[in-house]
Amino acid sequence: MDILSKPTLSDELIAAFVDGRTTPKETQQVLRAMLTDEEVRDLIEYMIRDNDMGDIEDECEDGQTVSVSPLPVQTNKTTSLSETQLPMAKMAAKSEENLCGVRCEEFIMYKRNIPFDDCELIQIAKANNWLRKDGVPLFYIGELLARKGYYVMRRYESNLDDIKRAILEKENVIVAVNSEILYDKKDHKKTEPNHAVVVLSVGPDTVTIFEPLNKFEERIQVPLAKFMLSWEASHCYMVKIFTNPEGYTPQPIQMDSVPLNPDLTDLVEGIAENAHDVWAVDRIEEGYTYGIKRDDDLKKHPDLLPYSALTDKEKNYDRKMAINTIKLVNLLGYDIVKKGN
Amino acid sequence: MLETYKPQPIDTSDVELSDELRELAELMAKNVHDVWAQARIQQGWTYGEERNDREKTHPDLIPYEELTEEEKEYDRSTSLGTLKLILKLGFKIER
Repeated sequence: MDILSKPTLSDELIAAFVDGRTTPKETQQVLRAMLTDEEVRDLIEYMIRDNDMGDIEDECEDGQTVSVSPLPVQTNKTTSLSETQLPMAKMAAKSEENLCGVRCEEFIMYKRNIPFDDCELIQIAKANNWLRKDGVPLFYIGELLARKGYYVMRRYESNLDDIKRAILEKENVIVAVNSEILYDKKDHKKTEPNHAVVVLSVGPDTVTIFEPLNKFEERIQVPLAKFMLSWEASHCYMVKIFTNPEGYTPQPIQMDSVPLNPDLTDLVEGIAENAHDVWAVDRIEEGYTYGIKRDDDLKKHPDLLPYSALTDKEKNYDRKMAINTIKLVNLLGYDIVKKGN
Repeated sequence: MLETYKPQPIDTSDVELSDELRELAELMAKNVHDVWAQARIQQGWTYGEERNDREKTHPDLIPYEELTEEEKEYDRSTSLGTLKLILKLGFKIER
């Protein structure tokens, strides 16, 4: 985990993404890059011809806030998706439905007693390009809350347990779904995600959600199977809003300073030597060779020797790791004994 | 002479692990993650959706259970490899 620099996107990957040929994992990789890398975002948006943004109907022009109708809304909508537009990057929507991402965030603000101005939020979303003619792209859902200081995590391939755990920890969950599947609209032909809803609870047979076209107090219960089917349209895309990353206080098991059983000296050496060899294989593959002094430009390293040729000081580095590993196994309740004893 | 050092890590691909030891590997992976996270947090890092070295944010500063399956696989494979190595070196691991 770590330490190397972020992998850059290859041209092939970007092209595959635009053609809709990426795996869910690859899709997520690209979308994460788009979140922070403007160049990538601009390039991809250009490639999928998102220039025709049109003007989002400004419901605030006369100073009135938007009123929403109760659900379900029968729309005669024809989706404006063309062949080149990706289901993952677009929310197909029309008129009042294109604000579902924003509405979900507003609902969360309402639940968290955060004051907000609907018109202001819509303006901010438009100005920052988080709101398009067709709605909010999946990777921007949560940006309004992020702006207010909340932490946002976006993830594909989530599952019901992820949702349950988040709700248990008082986090908010927005999922991307296909509304036609969710609400059982007859003859649904489209299967891509086109809608966002807030999940409030998960029961054995039903899921309780907030539908953004409804009033804040209204709830809808959807059969679990239907929910899963409509959620799968987005590869189970989930946005989590939370406040307290400090809530994660890692508590690694404390290693004590008691020396190891001397019977295990052979094992320590075995693990240490193997770790050294594994490390050496990687360095050699990178083109390193032995050199008396470390030089990263010339790719020289003084430790590229057989383990037996290393000094105690160098060996101790690997031995320490080996000892900690053995102690960890012990602390987790297991004994290590030589076979045949 | 030194140039001919050809490291040969022990091949553990033929070692089978019981379900119990696989669970042990999972606990080890979680601990390794917690050790890494604690160090980062002590250095002033916090959670952020994207890694940012300047602002010291990292997307993996979350409980082990919440890591992506891909990341867990990576951590698990390291622990699994270590346990297999211990068995291959002629030791038993038991409660």
